[in-house]
Amino acid sequence: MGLYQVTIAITIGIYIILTMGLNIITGYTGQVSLGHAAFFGVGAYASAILSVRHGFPFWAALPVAIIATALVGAVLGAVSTRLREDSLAITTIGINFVVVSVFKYSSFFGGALGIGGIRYPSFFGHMLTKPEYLPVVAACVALGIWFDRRLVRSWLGLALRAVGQDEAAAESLGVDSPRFKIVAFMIGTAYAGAAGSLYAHFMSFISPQDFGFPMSISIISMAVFGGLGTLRGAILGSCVLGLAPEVFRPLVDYRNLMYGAMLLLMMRFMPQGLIGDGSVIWERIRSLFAARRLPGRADERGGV
Amino acid sequence: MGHDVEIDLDRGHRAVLLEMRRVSKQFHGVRALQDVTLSVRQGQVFGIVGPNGAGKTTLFNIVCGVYPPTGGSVFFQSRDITRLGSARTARMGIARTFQIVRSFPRMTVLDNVLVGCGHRVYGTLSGLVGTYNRQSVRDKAMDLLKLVGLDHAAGTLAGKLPIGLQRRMEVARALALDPRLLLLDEPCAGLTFGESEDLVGLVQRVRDGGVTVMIVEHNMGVVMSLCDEIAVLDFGVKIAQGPPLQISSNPRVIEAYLGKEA
Repeated sequence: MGLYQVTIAITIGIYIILTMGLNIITGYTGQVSLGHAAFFGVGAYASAILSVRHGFPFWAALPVAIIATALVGAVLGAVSTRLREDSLAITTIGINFVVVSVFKYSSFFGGALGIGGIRYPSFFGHMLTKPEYLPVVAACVALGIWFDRRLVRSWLGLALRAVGQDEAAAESLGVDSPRFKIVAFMIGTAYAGAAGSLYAHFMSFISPQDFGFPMSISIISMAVFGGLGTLRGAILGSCVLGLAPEVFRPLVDYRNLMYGAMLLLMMRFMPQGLIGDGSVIWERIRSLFAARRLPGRADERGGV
Repeated sequence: MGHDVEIDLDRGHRAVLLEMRRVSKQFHGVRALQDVTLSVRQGQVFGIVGPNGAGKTTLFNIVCGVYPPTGGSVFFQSRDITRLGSARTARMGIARTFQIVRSFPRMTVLDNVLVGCGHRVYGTLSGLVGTYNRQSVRDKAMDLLKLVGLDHAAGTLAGKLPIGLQRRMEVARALALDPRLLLLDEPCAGLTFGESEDLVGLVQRVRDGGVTVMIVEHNMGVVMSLCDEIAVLDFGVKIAQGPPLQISSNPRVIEAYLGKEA
């Protein structure tokens, strides 16, 4: 694997973590967030400041960045419980712009220049190289996947999906939807915090525009493209849309235009995404496997 | 407390499960309910009838804690539940179905019922991380699906079921709460005659299982055959209450439904 491929793999890994987090908030719990990049930024800046100014090693900066981001996410979650669907979407866009402005205009966050000199993590005194950083990212992706699977099988995950699919019905069955929305935002933004930390130590230099609204659109495009509400969709969407700019190099300037157009077309013609539940492709795959399975086990839908 | 029960038994009645005291509700000046007082006794099937817009669903929503009343209070098992909110009211043992079916459409029928099975866990922190799809819980959910005759559809996505079956799923899901009181909001709306009959049978089985039932229903045949007691609402006011036969011959009720004689 050349350095170029390693760079792409790490980037996609970070996208996957971001999209998995958004999938928990928007896919499972039904809270449309168009400002996920803000939390990506919170994680990146937290990690950068801790390691550059306070000498935290990466391994300590990462968990602290995750916790800090989740706490900021909890605040947004608390706000979200008071908003209807459409006003929540607009509010999250606003939050994205506010957070970027804070990074940009406050000297504490390095202003428009951002923060540089963030180093790769060290491992027993040896600073990791880029290819050696890839397994770190991969491990974080694996951990994220494992956590998502655990979540989906838990009472918490069931309650989140219930809130996402019909809030009034969930309430009537004893699920306090405000509390569960806040938890969803905390978990989803914690993912973004981890991605931010990984990104900061990978790029060694971060600046406010990395975490702007276009980034949020990219993340939600990935989730929708693959199939909102499914882990496999989040992963596939991140891989495909993460690779696309590399494959279509000449079109890279039109990336946001393509994402926007794609998002519109998917919403109109394929709202379940490429391999989401109920999408044509996924139903094909399912029926293919269902034919081989014993009848009467059709309720085993705990798959990825 | 045991003393109260004895007195009730002396009067030939069972203990009061739900009590509404002078409950009123206004929406932006519109009086949806006005000074409604009623009590539902344990083991009853209690009907709420009245013309459209009489405040029946408002009454249900107040009992379930969807919104608080603007006046009066609600007591359940002698506890004030007036401002408890939807989720906590549900966890106290008041379950409901909706006038317009509300399923979790992208979940299986079984998972829909399992959501209701989690009522002991949702208020906790540690219980939430546990796996929900355990054999013991599944068995309970499957038993409920059998009770409503839906066990064959356990693996189907709820959104793909016809409305009649989604209604029954809602009943199973509500029963998963282990409720003391079940509120059915127009359970027969949109059902065929045969389906309505099935539903009457189901409600009787639920009642025989020890669950008190409150039912809003327009189908008078269903109401008369099912209810032990009926309250009639008209423009947010309770105009009559009593056993079915008494209600159907009450002149004020007939007037509310048919209009005044010229």
